[in-house]
Amino acid sequence: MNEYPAVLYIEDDPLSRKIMEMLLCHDLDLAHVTMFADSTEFSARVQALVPKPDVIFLDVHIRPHTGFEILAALRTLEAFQRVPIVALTASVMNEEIQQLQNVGFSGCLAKPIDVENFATLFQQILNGESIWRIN
Amino acid sequence: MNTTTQARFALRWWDRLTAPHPSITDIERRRQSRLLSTIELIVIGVIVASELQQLTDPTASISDQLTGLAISFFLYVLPFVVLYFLNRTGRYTLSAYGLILVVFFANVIAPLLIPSAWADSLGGGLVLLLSSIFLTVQATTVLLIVSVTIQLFFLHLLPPNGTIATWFTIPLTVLIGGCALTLLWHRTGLERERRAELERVNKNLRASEVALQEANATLEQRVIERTFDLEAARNQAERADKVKSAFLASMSHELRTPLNAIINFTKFVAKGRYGPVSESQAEILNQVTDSSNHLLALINDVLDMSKIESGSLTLFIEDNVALHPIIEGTLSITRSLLGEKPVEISLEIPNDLPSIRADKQRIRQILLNMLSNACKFTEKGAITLKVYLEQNNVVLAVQDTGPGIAAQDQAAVFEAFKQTATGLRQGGGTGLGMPISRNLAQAHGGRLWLSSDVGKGTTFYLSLPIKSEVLVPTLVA
Repeated sequence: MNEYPAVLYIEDDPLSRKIMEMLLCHDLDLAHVTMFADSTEFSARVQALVPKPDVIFLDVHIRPHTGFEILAALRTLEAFQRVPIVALTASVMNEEIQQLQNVGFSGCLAKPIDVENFATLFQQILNGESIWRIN
Repeated sequence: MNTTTQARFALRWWDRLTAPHPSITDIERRRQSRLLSTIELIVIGVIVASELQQLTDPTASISDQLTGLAISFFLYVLPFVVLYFLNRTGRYTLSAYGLILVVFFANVIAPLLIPSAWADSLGGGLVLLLSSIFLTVQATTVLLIVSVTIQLFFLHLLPPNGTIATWFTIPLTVLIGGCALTLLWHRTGLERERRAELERVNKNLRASEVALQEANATLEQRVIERTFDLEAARNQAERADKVKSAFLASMSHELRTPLNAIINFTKFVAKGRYGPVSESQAEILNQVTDSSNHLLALINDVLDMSKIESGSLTLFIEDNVALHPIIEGTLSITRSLLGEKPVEISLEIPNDLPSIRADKQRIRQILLNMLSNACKFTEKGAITLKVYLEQNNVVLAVQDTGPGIAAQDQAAVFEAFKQTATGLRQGGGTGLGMPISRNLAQAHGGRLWLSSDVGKGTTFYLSLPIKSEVLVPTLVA
């Protein structure tokens, strides 16, 4: 079990969570993987996490607060200003990608997730690279 | 013929004789005025000369001479001088009214005051009346000359106190004076009518003006309304566009989400993550994955085409897009697409290839489409990707040794929802790849075209501007 990195994934689609669970917990064997099925009181829940997540994956279409709102709220917190926050979304039309970039997402992984290359992409994200894997 | 008709006839005749020609111009009228003034001056001269002659008559007493001089001055010289200046102003009607007053004074008042001026006054009155008539009617030059001749004849050629003069001048004065007054009255009536007519025309004109203003206001109102309508229509179109874009985005999201599960769980199962899988099961599962990927590609194509057709295609432009990684990436995919086919892939590329301003993802899409198209149709031989610079463009040419495309089919390659006969036989694909690619190339300010020899092969060319002016980087770093 790897102690580093800690990952948070906020996603309402259970199948997407299951795929990510397979990738993060089994393939990468990470010890600290947290998943939220909704964004209710996410701020308090995120701040209560121990250890603090090193990378956050966000579904954009989450409720009640959208991925955009979560991103904006997290970026106001001192502890989350430098953490990579990556959109994990099936909304990858150009204008949506543009919007993601404009509001300050660190990157984007499109659904369907490219499971073969996920480990590589994940490492690149941890290294601080801006990854925009759109199809 | 009763009296009124006769009078009308006479007036008409007189009008015809004396009225200025309708085509008479202002210049003509000024010339008349000048001529008239000259004649008046001559008359004044003649009168003054004859009076001076009377002054030198030794038989008359000084007081008689002075009286005669005074009468001459007031009856002839002064009115003529007034006449002269009035003529100069060109106000003929005013001259006429003024002179009729003078005539009245000379013929009625003066003889009552000075009995010896009786005959002279008649002659003077005649002169003034004639003058007034012709002034009033703005008579033609010939009539003026006739008038002055008559004036001079009665004044100076006939003996001043003679019986003939008296007999001629009294009825003539009455007759001509009557004529002049009638004419003047008639003229004034005509003028009044004319003024009324003018007034009417003016009124109509004002009414027209008002109507025109109203029409203008209405027109303005209509323009405003039309503009408003257009604005509304445009807003509606924009709204419809937004709705369409939102629909497409939502479609993309809704279709990709289940595919995420289908593709990835199939892969997991095929790899034995959920327990052992037999070889034949794995094979089937891989086919499910391939079909799902194909379905994803089709969805992407249809959505792309919808975006292009609805005009909502937007590019994500970056300033320095390196072509090398895109080319390497697409070539490696191409190799996997060929499978066992005896086709050789080669790349000709200059070392100093510049980075370009483009949408990286879209360039990759176009190139992949060109290469996969070549793979699809080439059974043996070679696929060559040549990259070269041509003026300010980078050209990527994909040459294959496939069956080629007949001339009559070449245009259809770039038309949406059409596939060539060969394309249909080969199967697969939506036929949207090339139309989308061409649209994407054009959106970059570039071009996509082909040249082909049936039986030898086809070359697709993609030409892209290195730094297109029409493209603006989407994100300012």
